Amino acid sequence: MTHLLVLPILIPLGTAIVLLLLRANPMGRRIVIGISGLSILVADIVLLTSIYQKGIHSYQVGGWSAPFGIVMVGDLLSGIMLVLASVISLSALSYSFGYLKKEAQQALFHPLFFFMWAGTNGAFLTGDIFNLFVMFEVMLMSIYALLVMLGEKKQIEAGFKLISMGLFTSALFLAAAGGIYAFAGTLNMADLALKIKPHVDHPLVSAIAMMFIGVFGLKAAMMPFHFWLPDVHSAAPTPISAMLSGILIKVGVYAIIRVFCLIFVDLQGYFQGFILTMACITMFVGALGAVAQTDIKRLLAYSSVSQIGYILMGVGFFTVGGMSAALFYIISHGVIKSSLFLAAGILKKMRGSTEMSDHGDMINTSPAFTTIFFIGVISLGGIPPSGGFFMKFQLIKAGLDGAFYIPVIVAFMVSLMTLFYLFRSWQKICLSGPPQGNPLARPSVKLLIPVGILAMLCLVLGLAASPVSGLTQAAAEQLFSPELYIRAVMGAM
Amino acid sequence: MKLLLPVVIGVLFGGGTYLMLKKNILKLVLGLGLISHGANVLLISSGWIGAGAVPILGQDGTEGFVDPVPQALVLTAIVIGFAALAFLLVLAIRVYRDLKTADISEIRGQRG
Amino acid sequence: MTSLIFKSITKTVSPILMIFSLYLLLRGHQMPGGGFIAGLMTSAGLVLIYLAYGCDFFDWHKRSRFFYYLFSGGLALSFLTGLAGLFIGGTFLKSGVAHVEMPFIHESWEFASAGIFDIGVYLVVCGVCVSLMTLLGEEE
Repeated sequence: MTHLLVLPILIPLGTAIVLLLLRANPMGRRIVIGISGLSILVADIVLLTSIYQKGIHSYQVGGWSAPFGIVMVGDLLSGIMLVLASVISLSALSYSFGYLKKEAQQALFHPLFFFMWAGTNGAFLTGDIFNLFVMFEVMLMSIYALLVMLGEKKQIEAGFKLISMGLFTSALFLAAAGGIYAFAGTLNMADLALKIKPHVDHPLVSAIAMMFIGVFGLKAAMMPFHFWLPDVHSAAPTPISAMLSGILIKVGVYAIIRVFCLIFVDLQGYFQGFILTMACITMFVGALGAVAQTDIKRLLAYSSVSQIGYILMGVGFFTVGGMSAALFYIISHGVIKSSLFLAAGILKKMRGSTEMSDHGDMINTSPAFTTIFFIGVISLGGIPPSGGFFMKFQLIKAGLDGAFYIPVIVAFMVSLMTLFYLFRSWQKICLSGPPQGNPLARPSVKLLIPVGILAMLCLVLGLAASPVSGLTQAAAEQLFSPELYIRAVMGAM
Repeated sequence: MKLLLPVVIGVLFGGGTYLMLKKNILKLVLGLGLISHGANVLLISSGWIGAGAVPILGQDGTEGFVDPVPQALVLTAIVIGFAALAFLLVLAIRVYRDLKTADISEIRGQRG
Repeated sequence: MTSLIFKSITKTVSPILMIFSLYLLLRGHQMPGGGFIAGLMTSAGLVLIYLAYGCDFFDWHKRSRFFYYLFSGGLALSFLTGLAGLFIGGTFLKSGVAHVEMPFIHESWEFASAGIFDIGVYLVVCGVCVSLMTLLGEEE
């Protein structure tokens, strides 16, 4: 039995505890953060290659065997999400050193950040519905604290919204878990898949599936539940905004994929229309909201809502091509959107505001910033040399292959709107004349480097699209043969 | 006795929803607390078999126990709910001190 | 709240609560009890003292650092117990049991590594509850 599978949870958890104990020692904290951040990235990459070569891994926590104890399962989907999470987290971490000036803020920020990382990784690795709930809560509790940490008024308002939403979602999740336990007598996902299969026509099963869509849709900001996202993502401290939009809303999408490709496999056709409709409305509403914004962070937050619609559309096709495109979309959107959010944070540091009218003339002030922002804009807009082109191209191709013409038309129209609002913001911030007030200082290099690395990754994703999409293709194929997952967890039964 | 748990769950959810619709920030917190307790009782009821014995090792017999799994789950859920609710309370007090109001409609629109 | 009746009841009740909480902590492996419940009960005793005698009695505000290290230390203890399972063969959170012959009373006491985990949980709950109380009860 290999312990590789639990390392992505144990390292951040241990690091968080060590950081708590090292409150009075800033230098020690820096060293610990550097070492363990990199080692998590290495562990994730090693895990992904190991899964790619040897198939699905499973790990029984405490030595209790499958349907009774808690299992951790790593398949290609989890592996991909883990690597994405560690790339984005590392950039947000290195950015946070330049962003949070006060030592006391860092002493609070970093342990919470690692707790959040542990919760995220745990949610990707767990093979148990209730453990998924616990990991969600570990993640959410840290986000609550991180969100209100700086104590600005709008952050407290957003925090209140997020926590109320989170508590309500937890109650709903618990109710759904209780329902499914009363029905099937187990909470292990692989065991549930076996036990639910003969009773798939039972009305309770579709009711529970609907509850799970509600719960995970709330976390992923799917259309009727998107109301909290713009406030929260725009109010959060910038490294947290990048994490929220880059990886944490994808945890909800991940859970939808996991539940519908494993437990409720036979209900895919039943829910397809609903998911696709909601995906289209989400895309459209998000883009419509983004067009009306004057604040760059709110614009990016609305754009995240819209992009979640694209991802859900790929999931909603329920074909290998669609799922592969959705996974590619998750990866590239994660990288692009976190780089854009971090760039918006640089603007905030320069002028103390994220209103677009307070900024201008960045092309003369900082050509580096202008280039980085431009790469983000063309990537999210889907213009060829970037990863953004391939993410949209694959999605639309998958839609045409499956003859889903209406969603494809909507996606096409919304991507025109995306181009419009992104280029408008870029033009306002970078090309328009210098703003009133004090002359602009140059943005600090400390902040530019992590953003630059993420922007480079956007381009790399475009140039190296074929190996990445080969990986997502393999992950999608694995998702559509759930018996592999069940066999890995339950053993030869 | 069989009706007791559903009635309790219904009252908790209903009361919670009623409180959440009020304008006072503290009532919102209490309403959320009631709803999360309703969910906890719902979870308990999923493993409830008539008048089963306490599932503790060392008692005689192996028949007639209630299912211990939901009880273990509920313990976890209570801890999590406790922590989240405590955090929300601290935040509510913070909101009250900063804005000098407990009215939700006045708290809205503080952004910017 | 600080009436004489309340104060004198607190004097008797809170030590009993704390001793009972230790009892709950130690029997938690096979019987109802455990770290979380015991921690809450100890905190309840502390809350009583806080309500009856005010925050100056223990100077809690000046000792926030102590409670901070109490809960971080508890967290570390629990985590290390889980990790020990990983190093001593088995998997993460694997627990071990030893039967210890007690001196004088000649009874075998079942010592489980889960007990150490529980002590960690107990420390976390106490630390968090007291920090929370001082935070909530802070004067403006």
